[in-house]
Amino acid sequence: MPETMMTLSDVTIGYRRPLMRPFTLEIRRGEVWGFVGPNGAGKTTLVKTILGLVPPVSGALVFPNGRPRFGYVPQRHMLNPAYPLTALDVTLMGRYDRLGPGRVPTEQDRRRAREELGRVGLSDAVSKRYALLSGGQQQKTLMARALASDPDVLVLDEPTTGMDLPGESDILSFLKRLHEETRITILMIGHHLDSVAGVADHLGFINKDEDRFEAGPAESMLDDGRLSTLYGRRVTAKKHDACWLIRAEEDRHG
Amino acid sequence: MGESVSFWQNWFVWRDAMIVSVLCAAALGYLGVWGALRKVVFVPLALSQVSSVGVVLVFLVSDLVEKRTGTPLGLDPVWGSLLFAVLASLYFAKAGRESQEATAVAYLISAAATLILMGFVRADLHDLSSVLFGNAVLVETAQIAVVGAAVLFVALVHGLFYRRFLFASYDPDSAGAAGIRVFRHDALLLATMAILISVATRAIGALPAFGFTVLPALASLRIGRTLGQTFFLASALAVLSAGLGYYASFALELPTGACMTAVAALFFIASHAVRR
Repeated sequence: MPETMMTLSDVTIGYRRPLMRPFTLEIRRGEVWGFVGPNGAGKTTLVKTILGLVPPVSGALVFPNGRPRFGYVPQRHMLNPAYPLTALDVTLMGRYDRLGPGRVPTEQDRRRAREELGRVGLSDAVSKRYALLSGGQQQKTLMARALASDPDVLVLDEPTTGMDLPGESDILSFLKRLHEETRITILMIGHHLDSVAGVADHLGFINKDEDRFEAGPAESMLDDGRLSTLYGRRVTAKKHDACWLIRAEEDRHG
Repeated sequence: MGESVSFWQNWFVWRDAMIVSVLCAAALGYLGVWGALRKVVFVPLALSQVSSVGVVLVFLVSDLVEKRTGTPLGLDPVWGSLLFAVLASLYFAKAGRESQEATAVAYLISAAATLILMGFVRADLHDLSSVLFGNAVLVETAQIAVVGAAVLFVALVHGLFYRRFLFASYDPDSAGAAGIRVFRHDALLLATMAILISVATRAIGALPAFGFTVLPALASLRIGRTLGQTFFLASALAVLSAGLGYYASFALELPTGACMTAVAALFFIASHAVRR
């Protein structure tokens, strides 16, 4: 069994006030986690707690083998487009924490940044201005930046938000391929269960309004009964060609 | 032509003022880009006002000490100014990015406090107004050393932490996730802004100091293709504004600080005609 990378032990998440009751979550090396829930459910707070950006209200976040190196991919619209930065400039930021005071990125840093831009399919966009790239290209640049930091854990906050179907499919296929090639641990937040379930081998359902946090292997989480309780209507999940087909029936009461 | 000859003939009159103005302009133009990118263009104004409280407090304490002991305290008001400016930068770093209300509150409270406290300072003892609000024409030679030291400090800090400032400003969450201490870097960046703006306000006046911080930065962000180019352009436009503004004030016998700001405003307007 792979080693435990982090354990959230009886953790209550929130910004000084608890969002929901305490829960325990164990994440092992090489797992791909998808955290799903409606808007404002507490998904981002959970991820920020794991990243150490928001301290838990109570409980402990334990890294048995030391704090792993996190590569974080924020929602692209959180970044200010006024910065005159190229895709390479943005990607190089993934190397900044390695630079001592007064140091400039080395040729090796630049090579790593270019490699990762190439890996996400943006070799031609290296010197293009980041703010002028398409939404999908911006998202891929942020992924390249996170990967350029040589992370132990890749953390993505709603990576497919605001994308059209081909864009979403590109990003999810890339993540799947990346995991197959590198076995990197991935934590991903998403709105849509079907897209997250297509990549994740573990799922977490989170909803602060219902004081709900459930997590476990995808197969057991995608149980019709559990999904129907989560969404408050009959929901079915079927696996077909390694993809999950999730259907919600019409709400006859609402 | 006549003004031009007399301007150059009288170089010893304006030499110190020009050196100080150019030094302030170069550094404020650069720092202003950070302010504009972080969407905190009014923070320098509030920092300048908060640092004024420190100046007045030093005068008040000096008065009290002199009354009690009969000997002056001998503390330069610049230290009070710097202390309050640094405290204010911590406050703004804590207030975070959504700090418009914090900026307005800090500005108003410190403006009111400065004016009220000024009433308690003996008017015959010091020329408080010139220390508080500066004067781009009457610059003492000693100001060159003060401003020069502040500019060197800013250059040193930014030389050391430029990339971390950039990451923490552009994407604080990702920087924090990468292990960069965002609050510390935000506070340090704002402290450099605070120190320079408080020194520059005392040296050349509040209007040109604020003008050099905002207008060249906004103009250069419209023109610059890269971040390096943007920083360079902002500094260059601010320096040009200082030089041309000073000359215009001399030639047309107009207020110096206002002329410098007006030239910076002209550059800003002209930047709208340039396509990036």
